[in-house]
This record gives sequence, C-alpha cells and structure tokens, in this order.
Amino acid sequence: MKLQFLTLKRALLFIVAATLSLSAYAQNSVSGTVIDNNGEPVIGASVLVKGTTVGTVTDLDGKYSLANIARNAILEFSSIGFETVEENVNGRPVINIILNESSEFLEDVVVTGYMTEKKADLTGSVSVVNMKEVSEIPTTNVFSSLQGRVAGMNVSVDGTPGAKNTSARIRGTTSINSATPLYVVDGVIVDSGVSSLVSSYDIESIQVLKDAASAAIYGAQAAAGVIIITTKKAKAGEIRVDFNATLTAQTYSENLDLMDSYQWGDVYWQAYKYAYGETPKTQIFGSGPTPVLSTDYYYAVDGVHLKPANTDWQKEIYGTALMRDYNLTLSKGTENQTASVSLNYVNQDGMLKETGYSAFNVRANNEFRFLKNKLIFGQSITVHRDIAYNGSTSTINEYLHRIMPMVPVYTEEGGWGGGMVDILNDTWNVVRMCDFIKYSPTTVWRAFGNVYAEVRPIKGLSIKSTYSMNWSSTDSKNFSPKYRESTRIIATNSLSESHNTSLQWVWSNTATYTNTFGKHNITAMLGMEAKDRQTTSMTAQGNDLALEDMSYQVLNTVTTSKNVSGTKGEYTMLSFFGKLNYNYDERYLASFTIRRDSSSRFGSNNNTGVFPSASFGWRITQEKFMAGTRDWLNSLKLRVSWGMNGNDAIRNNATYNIYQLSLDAASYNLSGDGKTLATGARRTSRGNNNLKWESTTQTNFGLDASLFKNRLDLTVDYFNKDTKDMLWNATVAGVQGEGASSYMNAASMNNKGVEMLISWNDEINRDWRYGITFNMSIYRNKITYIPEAEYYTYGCGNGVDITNVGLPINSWLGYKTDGYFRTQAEVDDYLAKYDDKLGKADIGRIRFVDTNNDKVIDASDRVWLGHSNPMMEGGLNLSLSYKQFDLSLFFNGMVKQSNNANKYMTDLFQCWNGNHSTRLVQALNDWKEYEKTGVYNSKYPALTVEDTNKENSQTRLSDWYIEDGSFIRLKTLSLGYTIPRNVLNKVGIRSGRVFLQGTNLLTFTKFTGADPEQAANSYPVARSFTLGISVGL
Amino acid sequence: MKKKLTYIVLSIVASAFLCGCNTKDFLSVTPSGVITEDILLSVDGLDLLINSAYAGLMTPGSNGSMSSPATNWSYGEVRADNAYKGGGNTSDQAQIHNIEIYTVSATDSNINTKWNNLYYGVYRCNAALNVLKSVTAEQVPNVEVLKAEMRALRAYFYFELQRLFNQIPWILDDVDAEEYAYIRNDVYTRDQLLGMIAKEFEDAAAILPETQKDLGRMTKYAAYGFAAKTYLYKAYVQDQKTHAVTGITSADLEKVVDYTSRIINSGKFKLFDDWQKLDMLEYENGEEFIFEVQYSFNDGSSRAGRTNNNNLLNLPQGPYSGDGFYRPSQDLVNAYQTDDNGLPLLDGSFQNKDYDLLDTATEQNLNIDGNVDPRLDFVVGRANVRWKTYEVTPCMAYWMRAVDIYGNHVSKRFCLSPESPNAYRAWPWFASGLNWSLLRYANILLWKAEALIELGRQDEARPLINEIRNRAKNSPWVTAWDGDMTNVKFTPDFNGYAANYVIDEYPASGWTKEYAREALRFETRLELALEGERFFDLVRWGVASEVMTKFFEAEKDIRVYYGIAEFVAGKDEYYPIPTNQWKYTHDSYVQNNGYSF
Repeated sequence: MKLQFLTLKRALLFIVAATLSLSAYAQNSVSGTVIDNNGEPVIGASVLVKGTTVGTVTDLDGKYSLANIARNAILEFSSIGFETVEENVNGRPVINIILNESSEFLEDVVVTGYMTEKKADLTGSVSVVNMKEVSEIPTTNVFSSLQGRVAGMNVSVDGTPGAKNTSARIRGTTSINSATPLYVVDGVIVDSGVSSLVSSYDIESIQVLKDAASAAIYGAQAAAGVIIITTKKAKAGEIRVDFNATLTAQTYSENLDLMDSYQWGDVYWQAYKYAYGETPKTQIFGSGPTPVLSTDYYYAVDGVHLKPANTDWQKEIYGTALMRDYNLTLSKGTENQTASVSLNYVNQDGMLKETGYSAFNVRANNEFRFLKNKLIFGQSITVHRDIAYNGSTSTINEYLHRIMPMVPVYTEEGGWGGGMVDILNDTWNVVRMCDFIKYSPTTVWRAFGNVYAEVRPIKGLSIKSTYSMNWSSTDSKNFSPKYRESTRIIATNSLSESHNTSLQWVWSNTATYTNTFGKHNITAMLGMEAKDRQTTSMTAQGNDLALEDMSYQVLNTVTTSKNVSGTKGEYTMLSFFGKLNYNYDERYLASFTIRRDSSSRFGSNNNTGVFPSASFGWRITQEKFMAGTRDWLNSLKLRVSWGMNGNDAIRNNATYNIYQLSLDAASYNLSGDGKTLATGARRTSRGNNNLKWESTTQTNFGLDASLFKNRLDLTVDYFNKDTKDMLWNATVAGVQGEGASSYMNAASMNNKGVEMLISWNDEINRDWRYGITFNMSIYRNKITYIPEAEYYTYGCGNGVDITNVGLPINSWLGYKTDGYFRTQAEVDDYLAKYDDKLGKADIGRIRFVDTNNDKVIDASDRVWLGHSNPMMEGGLNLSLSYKQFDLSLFFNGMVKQSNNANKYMTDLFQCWNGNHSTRLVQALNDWKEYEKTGVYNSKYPALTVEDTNKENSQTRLSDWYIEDGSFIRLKTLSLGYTIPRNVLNKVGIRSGRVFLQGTNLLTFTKFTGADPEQAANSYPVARSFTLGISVGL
Repeated sequence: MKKKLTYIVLSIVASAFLCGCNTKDFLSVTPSGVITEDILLSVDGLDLLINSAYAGLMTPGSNGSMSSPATNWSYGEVRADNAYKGGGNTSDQAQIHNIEIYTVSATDSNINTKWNNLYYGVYRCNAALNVLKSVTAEQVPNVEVLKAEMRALRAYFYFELQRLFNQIPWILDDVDAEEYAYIRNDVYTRDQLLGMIAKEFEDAAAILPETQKDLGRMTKYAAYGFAAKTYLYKAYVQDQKTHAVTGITSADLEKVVDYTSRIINSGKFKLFDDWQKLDMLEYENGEEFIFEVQYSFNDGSSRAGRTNNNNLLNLPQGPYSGDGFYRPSQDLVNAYQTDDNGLPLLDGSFQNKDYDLLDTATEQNLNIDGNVDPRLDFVVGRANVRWKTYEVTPCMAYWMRAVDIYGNHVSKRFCLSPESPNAYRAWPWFASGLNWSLLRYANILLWKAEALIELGRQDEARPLINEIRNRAKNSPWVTAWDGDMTNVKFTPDFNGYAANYVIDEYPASGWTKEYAREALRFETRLELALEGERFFDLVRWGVASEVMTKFFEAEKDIRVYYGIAEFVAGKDEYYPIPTNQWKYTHDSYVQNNGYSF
C-alpha cells in the first residue's frame, strides 16, 4: 500500500512539476541529490519552491534540478515517510539534502490479517518489529534475533546450528498445551518451520498481533497470538542488485569450571569416608589413605589398554566454529510489473564437533498489473533445502557433565576410551558420540508458494483470491557403526532411514471495500478460507551392513532385522470471516471482526466455533480542544479491545478410539518357533466426541503517544486474558486398560500483564544522532480451574492434597531449607525436636524446615517455592551515529527464578556420576576446617557418596536448587561504516556498508548454572563475532 | 455501483457455498492407517486381540523394561536375599535400589508401571473375551478353547497382581468399562482373590486341550500348574492386616497334590538330563517346560526383535557388554555350600563362610576349598570359571561391574553363550529369543513336595526332592577352564572341575516333617534361584521378616548400603498401592498396611 501510494504520488508530482516548470521564469538554476540517513537516494521526493506551485521530483538516483529559481527562494523537500526540510537557496547552485525518516510515518501501514491498516487507525495491540535493528544480526532463524526486541514476545533460543530450537511465545503462557503463535507469511497461514521459508534478508516487516481483537480474524488458531511476516517485493521504477555477506566466528563461552582428575580423587576420598567411614578400594586411585592417580592400566584385556587420564572433555568437544552467510537479491519494477529473485546460502559449523547446518534458499516474487491496476496477478515461490547434523546434543551435553576426567578419550591402541569399569560409571565417550554425528544428517526440502488474483472493479473495492501450497519433505538417516568403547563391544551396525512429508493447501477469498462518506470512513471485508493438511511418514531400518563405508550406508546393504513402518494423517478446516472498520473524522475509531471455524479435529458435536471481537480507539489529539498541546504532544490515542480466540492444537484423531496394529507392542511369537510374530492390535487412545477448541478471551487497554516533535514515542498496553477449556489428555487408572486416556476440555488459566515501549530519537547536530529504545513486559499467570478428578495429578501438586489451582503454571513444590547442619549440637537439637522421616540429619547436610509445625519432617512439609515463569522481560537498544559511522548496543534481560537442575551434578557429590564443579574442592577444604574446629562452615553441602530416599536426600527438590535466575546480557554490539556515496559512485556502486558485530558478549547474573537463559544441557549459545559487508548496485 | 457490489458479494457467497455444499465431507476426516473399532471388536479382529493378550506376558506395549520386568527379577529376587541390584552404583536405577533396601514408596513410578502393565494384560484378555462372547461355534469352531485360554491368561495376571499388591480390584469381562474406575480394591480378601483366581485356572483346565499346535498357547497342564501354584499360596492363610501366616488349609494342599500329580502322571514332562539345557535356545519348549513366555529374534519387529528385555541390562560386561545389573548375593553363593554328605547346610551355618571371594589385586579366587552344589556354577558366574560353552576366556574379573559395591559374582542364567549367532550385538545387549519359563517341571515337583510335607506326607515328598537333586548331581559339571591357562588365575585342582562339587540325595533317616520342610525350602531356593520367585516364597511361608533380617545382618559389612535396610513385618510383605492409581479411581482404593498414598 505504501509502495503503491509512493509510485502514484511520484507520477502525479512529476506531471504537475513538469507542467508548472514550463510557465516559470528564470533567474538561477539549482540541482542536487536527496538522500536518506542511510545514504540511499530518495526517489520521487518532491522539491517545491515555497509559496509557489513550482517544483519537481527526484529521479531514480535521488537527483533533481530546477531552473530559474529566485536567489533567495526557499525550497521545500518532502517525501512520504520523511520529515519535510526547508532550505534557503542563498544563491547556491548545488543543494544536497538528507531527509530524516519520520517516526510518524515510518510504521505508517501495518498488515493485520487479510488487509492492511494505517497504524494511526489501529485499535488493537500490534507490535511492529524494527527490522532495521535486527537485519544485520547473522542468524539462520530470524526469530532468534528478536529475543528481547518486542514487548510481549518471549523468544527462547539455543545454539543448535540452524537455530532449530527457537521458539516464540506471545504474552506469557497462554495454555498448558502448545502455545505456538500462528504464523502468516504474505497472507498465508503456515503451520510450522517458518524460519526455513524466509531468510531474514527477504523480510520487509514482522508484525505481532498480541491482543485477541487483532488476532480474532484468525479465530480457532489464534489463541497464542499471530505473527505476520511480509516479504520484500520489488519497487516500481527500480532496478537493484543487493549483495550481503557475513562471516561469523562462534566461540564456546560456557566453560564450566569442572574438576580435574586429581581434584576428583581427593573429593571422592572424602565423600566416601563421610558415607562409609572408610576409604574406597579402586583401581583408578588405589586404595590407600589418600588417592593416587594410577599410571597403570585400569583395563587391559583383549588387546585394549586404558590408563587413567586427566581429560578436559569440554576442550575435546567444543571449539570455535565459523558461519558464512551470503545473500543476493535482484529486483526490478515497472509501473505494471514487479519481479524479484533472491538467493541465500548459509553454512554454519557448530561449536560442538561435527554438528553443522547448511541451507539454500531461493525466492521469487512477481506481480503483474493490468487495466490500470484494476486487475492484478501475483505469485511467489520459495524453494529451500537444508542439511543439519545435530545428533542428540542434549544427551551429549548431559554426559559432558557426567563423564569423569579420569576417562581417556582413546585407548592406547587408538580405539575409543571409556568408563564402565571400576568407579568410572557408564557414561558414554562424548568424543565418540560427536564423531558419529556425521553419519546422521537430516535433509529438509521445502516448497512454499502462492498465486493470487485481485480485481478492483470500482474504486475502493478489492476482491482477492489466494491459493497457496506448502510442501515439506524431511529425510533422516541414522547410521550407527560397529565399535568398541572400553568394555562395550557393539558388533551389530544398523541403519535407519525415515521420510516424512507434509502437504498443506490454503485457499482464501476476500472482498474488501473502503470508502469515505463525509467524515465517516469505512472499510468492510468478507472472506472465506479452506485449509487441508496431509502428512505421511515412513521409516525403514535394518542391521548388519557388510561394509560401513559412507557409500554403502544404504538400505540395500542391510542383511538382518529388516523392518518398515509408516503412518498417515489429515486435518481440514473451513472458515468464514468478516471485519468492519469504522472511523469518524479520524478521531473515533471502531473495529469489529467475527470468524466461524469448522475443524475436522473436533468432535461432531462441536466442530464449529464462532470467534467475535470488538475494539475502539480515540485519537485525542485530533480533537479541537487539543490544538493547544500540539507543540509538544504530537499524537495521543487511547485503545480498548475485547475478543475471543481458539486453540485447536490437538492430535488430528482425538475424537476417535484408536487401535493400532503393532509388531513392536502387541505381537507375539505364539507359534513358539522363535522367529514368527502373530500380529496383534492394541488401543492407543480413547476418543471424545464432545471435544472442542480451547478458548481465550482477552481484554486490552492501550495508549499510544508521540511527544516533542515525534522524538519520544510511547506505547503502553494492559491485558487480561482468560483461557478456558484447555485440552487435557486425562490420565486414567490402570484398571481402565492401556490407551484409556482421552482428551477432554478441562483446565482454565488467567494471564495478566503490562507491556511498554518507549523510544527517544534525536540528533545533536547533523553529524551526531542517537536513539534509545526500551521495551519491557510484566506478566502474572494463574491456574484458575482444574477438574476435581484431576485435581492432584502429577505436576499440579503433591499428588495428595496440595494443588496448584490459584498458582502460576510451572510452580515448584518442594522443601524449604535452612542452611546446613554446622555442628553436632545442631544435629542433636534437630533430632530431639523433630521426628525426621526424611532420613539422616548430619553435619553438612541440608536442614529441611518443619513448615507445618507438626514436629515431623516429612512430605507434608513441602510448600510452593515459586515458579519458572519470567516476572519481567525487557530489552534496551542504544544507537549512536556520527557521520558515516554507527554504533548500537542491545541489552536484554529478565527477572525470574530458576531451578538450577544441574546443581546436583555440579555442587553435590552423592550422585557419583558427575564431572563436578571445582566448588566441591571448596567443600573439601571446609570439611578439613570442620575437623579442626567442629563447625562446618561452607557454602556447599558436605561431600558424601550416599544419597537415597531414606537418607537426608539432597536430590529432592528444595529451595536449595532455586536461584535468582535474573540476568542482563549485552546481546549485540555492532559498529558499522557506510561508505560515502561520492566514493562509491566513482566505481558505479549505489551503496556500500561494512560492519562488525559481537553477540552475547557480557552477562550480569547471580545464577550459578551454565547459562541463565538456557535450559540445562541445551546446546550452548555462542559468543560470536561477525564481519559483514553489503553492497548495492 | 450498488448493483456491482451486490453481485460481487453474491459471487463470494456462492464460491463459499461451492466449498460449503460439501462441508460435511470436507470436515469428516477419518483416521488413516489405524484399525477401526468395528473391525477390531468383531470376529474379524479376534486373532488380533488374542495375540495382543498373549503379548501382554512380555509386559504390554513393550518387550519389557527395567521398571516393570515380567521376570520379577527386581520384585522377586533383589527384594529378597538372592540378589543385588547391581549396575554402576547404588543410584543407577535408584528405584530398584529402593526395592533392595526397603524404601519403596507409593509414589515410585516403577511400582505404578508394574501395576499398569499387569492391568493392561487383564484389559487385553477382557477385550478378547468380550468379542468371544458374541462369537458362535460356526464362526469360530474352537471358541470355547479360546475363551479358556483368555481366562487362564487373565488369571495369571491377577495372580501376579495379588502377590505383589495384596489388595486389588477384581474386574472381569462382565463389567461395564465406565465402572472400572469405581471398583474398590478391598471387596475381596487375599484368600478370596486367590480362590477366584484358582477357580479360573481350574475352569480353563477343564476345557483346554493337552497340547496346542501353537506352543505359546495355554494348555490343560499349564492351567493345572498355575492352579496348583495358586492353591499353594492360598493354603498358607494370611492375616489380612499383618500378613502373618496364621494357619494352613489341608483342602488347598490336597488340590495342589491333585493338580501337580495330573501333570506328573501325564508323562508328558520330565526334568532335562542336563541342567544347562534350561538356558539353551535348542531346548526351548522342551520336555521340562510347561509354560513359557515366547520370545523371538529377528522377527521383523524393530531392533533385535521381540526379545526378553526384562532382563536385558543384566548380563555381565566382557563379551556381552552388559550393564551388570542383577547380581547373585554372597548369601546365595554361600547357600550352595554342602557338607561332606553333599547336603546343604540347613542349620544356617552356610552364612559363616563367604565362599569364593576375589582378591582384587591378584584376581585370585579365595575361600573355594569347601564343598559346593554344582548348581552354583550354572546359576552364578564366578571369575576364572568356565562360562557356558564360551571358548575364548573363562568368566573374567573385569566382566563384573562395581565389584566394591556389589561383589564379584554375576548372573549366569537367562542368556545364550557369547559365541551364539542368535543374539543382538549392540544395545539391548545380547538380546536373544531365549524364552522365559513360567512353569517348569521342577516347579511342579517342588510344589507337590511342599504340599505333601505340610500335609504330613513328607515321606512321599522326599523322592521328589531327590529327583531334583539327582538331576543336578548327574548333569555334566562345569569345568574350571579347559582353554589357554596363561591369563587364568585359578590354581586349585578339583579334578578339572571349577569347584569341589559334592551333592547327594536326602537319606530317609531323620526325614521328619520339620526337617523335610527346611530341606524343601532350601531346595526351592537352590533350584529356582534368580527365577523371580524367592521373595514371594518367603512371604508365602511367613518367614520373610526373619530371613531378611538375618540376611541384612549377615551382609551389611560387605554390602555397606544394607546398613539402613530394615524389614518391617506387616508392611514389607507387599508393595504399596501406587498413589496414582488411587488418585484416578475416586478414592476407591485402600492402601496396604504401613504405607501411605
């Protein structure tokens, strides 16, 4: 809309100017170039002699020239989206102008679902991502760079190559079920994997529909919010070639502070003595009064020799890795046709050995206009392929915490070293696990496209039909070779290959009518949409490949245990919807939507739902009585909205009783020959024909303001969201048989929150400019209803009489603690006072609190310890530019509590299977001090090797694990240099820029785990350094 | 303009209806690739249901698991004095450690899984029976036999449930599914439940044929065998609350004698001549076995096949690469010691000497000079001793994990010899199609002997016990090692055998009822060690508290983790009713004595 308008205006002005210039009389001539802050030419800007109708427009290079201008004339430079500049000619022949983007018009038009609206007229809560801030962040998934950028959107990401574990949540935890927002790309609903459909270079804008009224046009799929992505299209009158390249070094920064072999032995000796009163008998450290790391073989049989080592496993599997990203976009536009093609190639090596990702993306957008724009045909298509080598990285990271430093990476003969014997525990060799990742790639092919036709038969009316296809195919290969690791001999190799496809089509038809009747502005839209999604999967596998070479890793070469399986699924939806926007004099705004969705997923008794919404706005600054404040208050708008959305994220067949034929789960060698299975069937789930969607009702109050010549912008929203009938897969008693569980509409929850965005942009002088943008959001989540039969289920309480109704989801139930027992007297006192059912109070053990004052320490003392939901999230962007240089810093942060789940591996010793933190050396020293003084004064529990339910189990959840997980992180810092146009023009280049960027550079936190932002054992995020260039022709 | 608008709106509506006229079809998407209820729950689906019910013997839904083994290795042996949990350390499979040191609680997920799996078995049988009820003999000629099979199978699951959980809800195929969750677990006492279970087996036995073409199906003799077992349990009257044995009912014992005699007199079964054949693929479904869980290898299902995964991590390291769970206790090893007459040390003195300790530095076997029962080396793997038919090395010290915690013995049973081609050489370690016996002829002989002794007919029992001892005596004994001796640290010479084997029959003299009872119980332990029965035997005899207390006392110095173990009489005879089951049944379950939900 913005583009069309621009073109139209440019054409008009050109005609006007050309006509007028003929009649003007000559005195002087002026020419020059009009560029924007980025040094890009401003095309079609109007240059007008003030107070006259004399003027012209800039050409494709932003150049203009005017003849016969009075020496003291004042020129007015203006263009849509820019602030108007007045310049006195003062007899100068050349006047070059930089136009500043106007914040009032920057986000002029937003896409709100099946239509676009002026931002000023919006009555719902819609966030627009500032693509300028994020476009240069090197990433394989654009959402990962939105972390902390959008008030109300929580993005979680880890370091997996390809950023495959990125997920977004809008306005807290909307549901106990999948709360994935609905993604809409160029008007087409996309169910999954959006990041592989559009590379970040192709994105023109991202908008987030947060409140129910904005999202209601997407009905039963919109409860978790909607994210709308619009891709770049060629602009009329432009021929452009853009090339971008970045090179990124990703470095491993987690660096857990783990003990070496010698420290481990010392700690083990003390821990064993504490538990059993004697020293251990081991091969690794001998059985003397102190541990002595053996230099002899601890395992020497069958030609395999393993000596105790001192391995730094982190160094063995993590290292610095490179990522390369290249993008080329070609675009050309004329009055009647626009076309663009973009190519993107990314190659990312993972910091974890052998992991990696590479992707190729091709995208083409075309639009053809006929009959003076009354008939428009368009098409877009994306083809994407990526290959990922990821392996089971969470297992590798868990084992990294568990494998002991004494385990050697290799045997003396060069085979795989390993544990399994003596005290070394059965932890797999993580170097070997990494090495095998190369055998198991996952290849994804996707094709995504749409064709549309739009007719504009009369002014204001547009009828549009869009048909889209979204196809994906995922092939995974999984080969595990023969190998030997310590005592383990794997002499059977196996190969499994799986193929999954998904095909979705969506056909939507809309008619939109816009008109103005006096001061009444109306836009009305009616539409229908049909959606069908089909999935298939098949897997084939077999064992005993005669040769292990990569080229023989095909299913033809398996010789035994051949096995195939496959499944199929389908899901359809049919919807009708309408929307009415009305405003009176741009002052009083109102919007109403309704959508009716029918889904095959729901029961025949309930397969249709209606989702209404209404919203209102008042632009106070448009009122006459506000005229006096316009000097400083540029705009002020109040908004209120109410709406209903649904969530249909359940299994396709949840309304059916499902029985499954299964060789693996229900078949039996009834004949007794030891090799033939008699096939059996079993029930896997029970259906519920009354099943319906979850519904979310949300009320939103908002305020938008611009102050001080649009330098200060402020948006504040408050929302109150009720989710009910949450889909719940009810657990049932064993007597009801297997597969007896079925979905039901059960629990309810409430989310309330406040979101705020403040930005200040100003210039000190022409050379120095700066900007500050701050966003934050605060949420409160509460479970408001759970059916009584499910009241005390797992995860919702203690299973007996405590439930989390009235508490936030993800609340922790556990013990309160009161430090450690420091002296024997404290232990004796405690035991005299309390009947300790938990076990063994002793020096250095955690002291559990008798919260219910019944003098018994038992499970009934458990209380709610808090929850893992962030209480506050925020982001702060600082930018500063001087002439051609620009600097920006982005911080994100959270206020939250964390359950430091790995603490029992790093800070406790009773789970021997740990490659523990050096904090335990402190515990050892503190114990030595205790032996002298009789007082155990330590930040850590005393070392012990025994911890069972009957003892003073420290692995049970208590507030000892709950830490302040708040953090502030310098997420990105970037420094850029835009090459001056006059330099570039000499070599025929339109624009050029180089930049340096660092990500995850600094973190401020009290959290003692690996990373406050990450779940335990996830793929660590990199501290990365990027060099980038972009060139435009 | 209005006209145009109207036209356009109408065309939109029309196009919507183009789609809309087929709305119902468009939205009714039936599930693909899954079997529908109307086919499955009819005569066409009958075989699928019956096969699935039999598959429940392996634990429904899987090949079995560590958490709820159908073989009861954790519930019946680690719980008792025969075995340790094993593995890497005490926190490796911590819930089985709870079973071992008597700290099980009602919220342990293992217990819940075990309960679920057994009731899933019951459910599968009921599903098949519900279809069988509506089937005519014209449709399925052997409908009555199939019904009997399902009833016997269901009774087997109920028997397992009862001896694990004591008070259980009794649900047959005549109950409406909606009622399941409201049926209480305290409707029947233990004795009533066992009576009903026995009746199911008896009814089935009356109909079932003597042999079946499919070797895995229930037969008349399998049903008699299970009936005998059930009556034997029922004979020992238990106090419902304290679980103390308060008396013994002759009528039940007579039934045991009757049914075991029918099996013995059928002439279809006998003991293998070689004890070793119990663990050999070639002798599956052979003359000693009456009913086995049929496992299979390379059968088209994923990985190794439908193999016995209940015991899958229990093999030693070495050639098996196992995880070394399920380790014979020192007490069990000691129990195999015999006196000069080749008889076990019934007076308890076997606990005074730890047979076959290992010097970790030299890997020499210590304390192996005394006499032992040859079954020791069929059941227990010892360092430097020949391992089955493996010719590369004998069992080596390094085959055993966590020797400092769990000692130097590994289970030698329920696996093929390492050179066998019929096993999977990756995880799940050395899984094979080797069957698991639920009834073998030795069980029958011992149960009959037990019943006879308790009936005061101990003289008739003695030949039965001796038949078992004679088989052990006459089996080819395990040799020390007949391969290359260079790496083998085993010096004593027992005429080439691995130990000084001395075993003989019980003589007639001194064979009083009391002596016979002790001899029978000891023989049961030695013959059936590690077969998943020991704990249930102890509870049945009413001696669990006494035996376990003595065992902890004897072992806590070498197995330090037993230091906190305590057997609470009146509680620990049974496992708790899982908390989850109580939660989902609307307060319909009462907890066993001593436990809380």
